Amino acid sequence: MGVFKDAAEVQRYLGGIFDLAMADDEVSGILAASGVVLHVVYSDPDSEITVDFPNRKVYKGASDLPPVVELSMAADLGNKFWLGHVNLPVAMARGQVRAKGPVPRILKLIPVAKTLYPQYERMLRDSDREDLIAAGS
Amino acid sequence: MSIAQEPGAATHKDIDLSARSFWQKSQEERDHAFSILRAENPVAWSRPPESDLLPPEENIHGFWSLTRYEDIQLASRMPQVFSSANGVTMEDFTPEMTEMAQSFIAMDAPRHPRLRGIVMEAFKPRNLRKLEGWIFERTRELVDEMAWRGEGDFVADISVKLPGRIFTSFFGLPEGQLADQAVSAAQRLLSWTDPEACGDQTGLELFAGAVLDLYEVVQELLPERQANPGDDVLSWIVNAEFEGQKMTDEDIQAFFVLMAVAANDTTRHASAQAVYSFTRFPDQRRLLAGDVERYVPTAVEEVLRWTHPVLHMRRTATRDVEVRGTTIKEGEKVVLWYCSGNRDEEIFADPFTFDITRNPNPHMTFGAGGPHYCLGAALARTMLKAILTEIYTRIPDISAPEPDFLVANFINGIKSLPATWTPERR
Repeated sequence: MGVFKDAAEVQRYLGGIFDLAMADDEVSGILAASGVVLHVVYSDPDSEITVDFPNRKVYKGASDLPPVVELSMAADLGNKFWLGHVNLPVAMARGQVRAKGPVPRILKLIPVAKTLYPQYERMLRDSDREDLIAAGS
Repeated sequence: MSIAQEPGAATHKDIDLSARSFWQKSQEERDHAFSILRAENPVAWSRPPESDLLPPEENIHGFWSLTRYEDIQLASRMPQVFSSANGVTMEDFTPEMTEMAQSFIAMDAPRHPRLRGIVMEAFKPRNLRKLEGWIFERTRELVDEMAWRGEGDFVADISVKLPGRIFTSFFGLPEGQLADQAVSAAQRLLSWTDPEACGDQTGLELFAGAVLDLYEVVQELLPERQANPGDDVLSWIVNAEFEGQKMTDEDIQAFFVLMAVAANDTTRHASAQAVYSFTRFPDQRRLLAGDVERYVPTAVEEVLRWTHPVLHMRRTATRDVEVRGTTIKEGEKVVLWYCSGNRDEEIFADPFTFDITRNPNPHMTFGAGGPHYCLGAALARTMLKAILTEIYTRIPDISAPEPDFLVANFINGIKSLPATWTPERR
C-alpha cells in the first residue's frame, strides 16, 4: 500500500505543491514561459493532477485539458520527488516514470522544481505529516 | 539442473564474459579467450552480466554466447527465431529505456523494416556516391588543420570530428551549441561501463542523461522541421508516416538517438583503432603508405575486421532452438560475438595477423547478414577510406602507440590517442 491514504491526500499534497508554485510570481513566471500543460497520472492510489503552466492553474482530478507532457508514476515516487530524492532521468530509465510528449521541456524545469523542495517538506511538517517525510527519505 | 540454470558460473574455465574485469583486459587477451571458446565451448552460457543498469534483483538473466562465425551468421539470418525486440545489448535495460533509446534496431518485422525504410533513401548507393567527394573534402580540411602540428590527439582531431560533421549535415543541424550537444551526447552514450567516462555518475545516469540531451536537440528542431521541412533526414522522419500515421514525438526522439549514436560512435572508434593498428604493425603501415591508392580498398576491410567497433549484438530466442547440440530455450538471451567471428580460424587464414592485402575479407563488423545489417556500412567505408587516404598520403609516419581504451563490452573504443608525426609543410 502506498504512503497516501487516498486520492484526496495525493491531491492535497502533490497538488498542493503546484498551488504553492503558482502562488509564487517568480516560479510561476518561469513555469508559464515553458508553455507546458503537464498531466501527472498517479497510481496507488489512483489520482490525476493537471497543471496549466501558461495560465497558472492547477486541476485536481480528471481534466479535459489536452496535455503537452504526461507523466505516470506511483504516488509514493511523487512524494519522494518533491522531497528531493528522485533523479527524474534515472527514474524514467528504470521505468518508474513513464513519459509521453516532449520530455526535455519538463526536464528543463527541474532546477525550478528543486527550489520548491523545501516548501513541500514544510507543507508536510505544517500538516503534521512527518510520516510522509520519513516514507520519502 | 541444466547448465543454463547454474548461478554464478563463469562462461568457461577461467573465462568470464560477464565480468567487468574481462573487458579491462587487452584485446590480445580477449582474442585468446574467444579463441578458446570457439574451440572448446562455442555455445557457452554465462551468468548475468555485471551491470548497474538494473537493480541487482532485476539483473537476473544470463546469456548464451555464439562465438563461431557460422553460428553468428545463422542466428543473424533467422530473425524470426533470434529476435531483436527485447534489446540488443548483453546487459539488460528496462523495456522503457530500450524503447527510449534503441528505436528500430530493437524491433522485429513488421515494425523494423517500416521504420528503417524511412531513412533507407539517405543511404542508397547513388546518394552515397554523390557524397564521396564531399566526405573527402571534409577529411582534407580536418587533416589541413592538424597535419602541420606534428602532434595531437587523433581522436579529438579527426575521429570525432569527421563523423560529427557528416551526422550534423545529414540531419541539417546548424553548427553551434545544438550540434555540439548532439555529438557530445552521442559519444557519451555507449560509455556506461567505463569508470572514467561515468565520473561520479552511475552508468545508468550517464546513459539516461545522454539520451535526454539528444531528446532536447530534437525538441529544439522539431517545430521548424514540421513547419518548413528541408532535404535532411530529420525532416524526412518528422514528416514520414509510420503505421499509417505521423511518428509520435517519442518515436522521433528514439529514432534520433539511434541514428546519432550509430553515426558518431562507430566510425570514430574504427578510425582511431586503424591508426593504432598501423602503429603496432609498421610493415603494414609502410605497405599502405607506399601505394595508398592500391591498398586502401583492402586496408579498409582489414581495419574493419581487425577493430570491429561493435563487439556484439544480442538477440532473444523466440522458441526453443538447438545450436551445435545445445538447446537454447525460448526467452533466453543470445549474444552474437562479432569480435569472435572476425577471428574464426575456419573462415580467416591467419586470423590473428593484421594483413591489409587480405582478400576476400568476409568480416562481420557490420553484422552477419539478415535484416539488421548495418545501414551505414557504405558510408562508414567511405569515411574510413577518406581518412586512411589522407593520413597515409600526407603524414605517413604517424605513430600512436599509447591509446586510452574505453572499458566496454559493447563498443571496442579508444577515448584518446596521442599521436606524433613529421609535420607537413604549410
